[in-house]
Amino acid sequence: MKYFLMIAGVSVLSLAGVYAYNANAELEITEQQAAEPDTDVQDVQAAAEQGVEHVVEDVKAAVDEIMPEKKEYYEIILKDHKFSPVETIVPAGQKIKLLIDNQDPTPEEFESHDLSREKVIAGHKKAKIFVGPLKPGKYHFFGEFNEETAQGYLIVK
Amino acid sequence: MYEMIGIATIVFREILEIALVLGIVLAATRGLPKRGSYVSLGLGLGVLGSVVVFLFTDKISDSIDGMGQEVFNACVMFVAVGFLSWTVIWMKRHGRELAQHLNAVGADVRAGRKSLFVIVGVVALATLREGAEIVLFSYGQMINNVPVSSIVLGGLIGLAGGITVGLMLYFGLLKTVKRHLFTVTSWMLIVLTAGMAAQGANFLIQADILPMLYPQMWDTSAFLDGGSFAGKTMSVLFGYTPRPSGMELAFYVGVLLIVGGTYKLIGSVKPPKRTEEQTAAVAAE
Repeated sequence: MKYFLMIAGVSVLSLAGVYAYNANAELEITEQQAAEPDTDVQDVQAAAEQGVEHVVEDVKAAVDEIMPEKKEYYEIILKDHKFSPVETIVPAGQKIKLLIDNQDPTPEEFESHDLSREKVIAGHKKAKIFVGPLKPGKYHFFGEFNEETAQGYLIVK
Repeated sequence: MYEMIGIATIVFREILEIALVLGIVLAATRGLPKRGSYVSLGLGLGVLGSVVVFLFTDKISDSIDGMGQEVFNACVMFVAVGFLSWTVIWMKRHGRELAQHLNAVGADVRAGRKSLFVIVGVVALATLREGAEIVLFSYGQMINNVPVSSIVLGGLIGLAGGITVGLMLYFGLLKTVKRHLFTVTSWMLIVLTAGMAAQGANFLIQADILPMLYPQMWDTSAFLDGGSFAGKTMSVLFGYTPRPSGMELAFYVGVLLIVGGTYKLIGSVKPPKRTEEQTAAVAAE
């Protein structure tokens, strides 16, 4: 799966390269055909360059979307009975280690029906929880002892 | 007031599991002499154990490279699975004697006692895990400066709710399945036991000790959410989980086949024929 995504990423990037190359080539033709350079050509050139940059940015964003960074663990802080970040983005199809850092003095129970996980974390303690491999999607978790405020999501991509 | 309702809700949710298990165990062991005192003993030990587990929360959690809690919970589950299986099979073997009130006379009193101690264990274990969470939660509320009166009152309301559900299940079973009470409750316990085994396995998966085998066999969360009251009840009674892994399914089916199969195949001990003296004694009464 990982390699497939890498290949997909690389192919998208090379497609972008080909696109950019073609855009330049067209530009050259326009330049050759024009008897004298006029503002139109400059406009086209600027537009093409912008276009290329735009495409590259899009591709980078797309790769991030489909292939979030794989980390050793993903830290989620619990403070004042709130999780931060509220949404943690993790890659799909892999075993993930979450590190819940309870900075409150009170104990909390990390619970998720979507992930079928539950673990009590004492005040001022950290706890690791293994989840996955998961399918892409949005997985809800909460602190059972303070459900109104302690809400969070795992965004699997 | 607002806090109290929140506390009552959480306590009720934790107690629900204990109440459902107790409701079925009590219905299944109907007819066992002195059952009440053994169940009470189990409850007492469970409450005591809850406090002990609470006091050692940190120590348990920090052990085994931070995975002590999962291993502990899995062990509680697996021991309960053993005790419940024993109870179901023992009741099958000796059910007929019990029905004829012969157990009090003679040979099987000792066996009866052994089984009753297993019931103490089942009740204590069912109380222990969720009980410790209630203590932990109440402790957190106290740190949050919630008045003790709200905690106690909320706790009592939650407890009353849990007991109500347990009693409804118990009397509901007695009423609806009168004639087949024993068979029905036995199968309910077998299914419940299979669910516990799967839950135990899930704790070991969470600790990364057991592999998942297959991440997600199916997904029924859209149909019945695991967090809803119905979902939670189904989870206790039938081991319902919306997205089971291959390993959980394997444990579930495995225990179902082994305990269910043994229950089905094993014959009940025929009550010994009454001696003439006994018959005469009964007749004289």
